[in-house]
Amino acid sequence: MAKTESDPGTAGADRELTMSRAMVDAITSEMHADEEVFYMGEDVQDYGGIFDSTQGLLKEFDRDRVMDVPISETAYVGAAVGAAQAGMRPIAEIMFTDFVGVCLDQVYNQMAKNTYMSGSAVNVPMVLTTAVGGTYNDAAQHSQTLYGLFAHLPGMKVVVPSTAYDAKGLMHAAVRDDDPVVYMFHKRLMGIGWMPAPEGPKTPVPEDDYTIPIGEADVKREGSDVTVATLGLHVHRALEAAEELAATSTSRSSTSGRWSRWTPGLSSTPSRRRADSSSSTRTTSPTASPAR
Amino acid sequence: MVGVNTLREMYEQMVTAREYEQRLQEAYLEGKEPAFDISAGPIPGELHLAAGHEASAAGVCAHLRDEDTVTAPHRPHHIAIAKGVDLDRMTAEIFGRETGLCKGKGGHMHLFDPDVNFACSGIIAQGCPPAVGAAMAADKRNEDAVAVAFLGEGAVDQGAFLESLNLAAVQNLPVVFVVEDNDWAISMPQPRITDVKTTAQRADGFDMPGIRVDHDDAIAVYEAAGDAIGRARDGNGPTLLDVQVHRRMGHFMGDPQTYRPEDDQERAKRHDSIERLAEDLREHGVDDDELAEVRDSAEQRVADAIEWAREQPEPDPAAAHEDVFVDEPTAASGGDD
Repeated sequence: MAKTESDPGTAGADRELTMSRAMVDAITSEMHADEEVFYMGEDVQDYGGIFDSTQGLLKEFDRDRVMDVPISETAYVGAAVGAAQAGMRPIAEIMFTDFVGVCLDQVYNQMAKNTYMSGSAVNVPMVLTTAVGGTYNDAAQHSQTLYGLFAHLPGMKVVVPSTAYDAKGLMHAAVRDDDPVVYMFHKRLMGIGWMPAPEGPKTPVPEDDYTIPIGEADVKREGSDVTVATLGLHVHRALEAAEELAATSTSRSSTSGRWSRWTPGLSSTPSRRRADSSSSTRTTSPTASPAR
Repeated sequence: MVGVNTLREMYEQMVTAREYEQRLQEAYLEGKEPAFDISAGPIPGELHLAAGHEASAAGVCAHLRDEDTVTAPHRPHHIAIAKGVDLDRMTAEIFGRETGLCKGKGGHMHLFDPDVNFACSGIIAQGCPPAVGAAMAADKRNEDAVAVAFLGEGAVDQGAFLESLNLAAVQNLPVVFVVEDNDWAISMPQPRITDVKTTAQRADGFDMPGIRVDHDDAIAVYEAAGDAIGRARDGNGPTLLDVQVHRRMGHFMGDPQTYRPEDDQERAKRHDSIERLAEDLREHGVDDDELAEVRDSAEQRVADAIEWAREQPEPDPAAAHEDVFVDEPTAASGGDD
């Protein structure tokens, strides 16, 4: 795993991508670099992922590497565990994170625990991708984020990109990581044609590979009064709120925030690590210890 | 036709497994009598022994190589022995020792030995999907390795089993599912909980071969498994094997078995696959002295493993915090600023 953010280089740094394009960019690159990487999920071949998570992959790879699987999450998420224990680097997708209920045993008893329970005799280098979030009237069975559920599983690393830049770097890091990583992408941020994204997630994305270290938050906006630790869609909502507050503030001191590309599975205590405590009036600190 | 050397090896695996369970039973009860305290003695925790199941493991694993994957359920010892798992380290694991297969963190239901691609899941039927994944890996790598998922007949109503049959079938993967039918899901007899006469029939719904081996006859298992594993290795897809075995002990140590008719227990003891195989070996010209030699050597091997395990150190309590990740996350280092 990359411990520090690698140099993204400058090639193509001026191209802006949606989050889904950046995610697929990283997957494509990892699959070209390593034949042991493959992607499986429901509707990931011809459809390209209901939330565009595999859009275009089938143009680059055959159906053995981009696999449609039965609507049978226990079987294929568990198969990813088995393939990972055999040394491959599978990426398995649960279409909506709310569907994890039907396969939770494979996720928390096998994927997350086998490394510990085997005393590291085996490890599970797989990525579980899953779409999270609502904002579009899909009700309670199709709208949760469940960050906390995954983050509380010992042995699991969880990443949540909030921009295209994050989406690519975190995907590279997730695929290369020797532990199981849950990669949770917010539907509203992906840049899907039928679900317009806000302005923020579309960012410049370098063409070359780069990794973002898993376990570190990102500061999205510097300030001196308030620390806000958040993730996913709410990074953008909080940034918007900060702008609004800064514009309407009557006090000399601006209201500001720190915005995180948070990896909650590691509970990296972004605010504690990054906050300037002398000037913070309030620190929102996520759970303070790694999921273990 | 099975050769006498193969039969002798199977006999050796089977008597080793039977001896192992009997000696473990004794060690387990140390400190647990007269009052049974599951956390006391040199083997704390649950213990599910497999006496009476030996034929299925020996007959199947006789066809397997180290690179073939086996997943076993919560009753795994006989399967691990037949797959060639290191007996000393496995025993140390069951005793919860530092030099065990899993540094004492897995215990008897969660044995992992990557040297021979052996893994367990203590959750009913949940070892099936990872076995399918191991087969998927072999398939993608164009290797002729196969995967075998063992489970009990009480597991066949689990979605994980049925979903795995479907995934293996639709992708034509080299998997063999081996259901050990000992008639009892803890206290529940199969007719009470499932309305199919034999598990083998389930295969029809997935358009795959389903083979019932009606008696725990090691040779019959060997022959059926040979066909199934050969088919998988040749790229012809999965098979479901449904093998009758007999549970000679309780579901777990401490199980009073008050639910079980006495004649059923007697019946289980009469159907002894080891005796049956000894008879077959005699017919192949192996004399009683030779059989006794095999048994003596198995007894010695088991005694040595248990003695070695008892001498092994307990894990350092601080090690409880290790192995959550193989690749410690940045934040776990405590920060750098």
